[in-house]
Amino acid sequence: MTFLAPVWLASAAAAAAAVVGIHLIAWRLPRSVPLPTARFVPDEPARRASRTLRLSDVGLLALRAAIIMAGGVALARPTLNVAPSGTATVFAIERSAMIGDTATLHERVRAVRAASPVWYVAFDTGAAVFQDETEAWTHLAQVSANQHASLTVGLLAATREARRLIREYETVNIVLVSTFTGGLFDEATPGVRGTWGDSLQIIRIAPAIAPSAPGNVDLQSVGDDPVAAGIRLAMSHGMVRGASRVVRGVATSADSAWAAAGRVLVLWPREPTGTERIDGVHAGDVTTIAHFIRPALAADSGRVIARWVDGSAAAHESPLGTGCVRTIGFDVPDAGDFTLTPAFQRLAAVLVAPCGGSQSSEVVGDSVIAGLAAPSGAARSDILPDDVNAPNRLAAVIMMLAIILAIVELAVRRRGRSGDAVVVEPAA
Amino acid sequence: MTSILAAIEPSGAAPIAPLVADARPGARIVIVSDFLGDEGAMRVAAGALLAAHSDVHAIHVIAHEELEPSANAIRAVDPEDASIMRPLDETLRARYAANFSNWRSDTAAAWRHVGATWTAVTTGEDPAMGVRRVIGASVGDLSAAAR
Repeated sequence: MTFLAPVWLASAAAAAAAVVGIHLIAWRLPRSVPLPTARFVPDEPARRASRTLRLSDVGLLALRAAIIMAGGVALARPTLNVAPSGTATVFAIERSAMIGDTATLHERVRAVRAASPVWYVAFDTGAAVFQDETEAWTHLAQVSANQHASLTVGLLAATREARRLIREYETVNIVLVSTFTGGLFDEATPGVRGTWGDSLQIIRIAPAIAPSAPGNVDLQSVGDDPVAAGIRLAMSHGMVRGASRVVRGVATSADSAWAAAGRVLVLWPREPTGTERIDGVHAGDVTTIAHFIRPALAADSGRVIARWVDGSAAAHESPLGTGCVRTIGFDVPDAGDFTLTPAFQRLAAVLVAPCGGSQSSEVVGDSVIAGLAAPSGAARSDILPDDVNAPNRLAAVIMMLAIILAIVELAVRRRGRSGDAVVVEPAA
Repeated sequence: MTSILAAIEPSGAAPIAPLVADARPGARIVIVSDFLGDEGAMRVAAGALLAAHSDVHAIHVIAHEELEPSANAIRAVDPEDASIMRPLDETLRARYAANFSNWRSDTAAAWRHVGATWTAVTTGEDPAMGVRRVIGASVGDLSAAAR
């Protein structure tokens, strides 16, 4: 048996020793004796402590010590050791729109899959753990509209699962299956990777959306539209990615069906009656300040993807099928050449970007991936805080025992008190 | 008389001085008490009787436990006054004994000073011997008076 928080054992032992010490110092009131000449006794304090080497109330003492020790053992979080043997493998598999064809992914994973027990962690911005292979691949095969994914999330779930398995298996391998595009990394990724000391096996999957592939925007606009002109210019500059449709009028059911197939429908209505003023719009990592036409009443449903400088929403995104619909809550004046500036084109590129927002689809350098694969040097037996806080049935049982003993002690103490009223107490 | 006395359950703190004051002049009065109650008033009343040619014999009954309290630490409680409750252990026992002894000496001297016969008896001694001592003291006192 091992203890995850052994300091509680020492604390309980010290407390039990203190209880024994207190029992050695008997505080007793001497018995009352009728004495008519009591008035001749000097008037002095009525209580004094007397030390004795004889333990008083041995049964009660044993109960109290047992309560303290049981509580200490429970708080020390005991775990029963099982000799680990064998090998287990944890596959952490990226599940995002970047992965593309899961059949290829399945083949790659099967090629390295060992006969040992396997666990699957499917991750994008969240993670799901599967032991059943069929369930795992069913989950992975579902088309994910989420372009965002996080290696941090995947590593965290995989290392947690691996740490759980290390108690049962002598060797636990983690295989990381990902596109390793730049958007998957964040500042926490190296730190989370460092919590697993062993090396990681890496399987690189080519991103389904090629970073260099130019995007295409289907513009549903009539007349002389400065927004359409600006978006066309952005396309010609290669700033637009993914497939999207911008509707400057009223969307039709055909537009919705088009978006539901995994594309972006951008509803960017004209605002001839809105208030024109100089304002700023922030979307993604782009902030543009110019003359904007702001409507009196803007849509407020869906995820906010752009905000005015005062914090109010300037554009929303709502999922539709495997695609999404974006509603833009501002327009630009017909006069002027603002839409022809790089500032507007960058803003437009963000607004027509693939669902889930733009994420870097550039694959990171080989050195970064090699750094992930290399052993981090962290101790294999390091315990994450979650392990300490995980439910511990044995500790719960022992704590319950301590509570029961405490109730018994209370009953014994009360019975002892009632007995004191009729039994002459020996003098200390 | 013995059976009457045996049937009495001692309790409370009944004053004796009024009884002494009501005694007939010239009578022989024997006061058997621990003298822990209204001893002062009793002595004054006894002095008045003695002035009226009465004989007053004071018999001070002392319990053995009062002279030698328990060797263990106790809480001494006055049965006639529950507000008096004091710890008594080895360190206090000597001072208690000194206080009690001084009080007995002073009280005996005061009674003898007013002309009464004072005899102290303890519960630990043979009752017959106690009675003889009382009678002996009374006779001695009467003989001295006759001379």
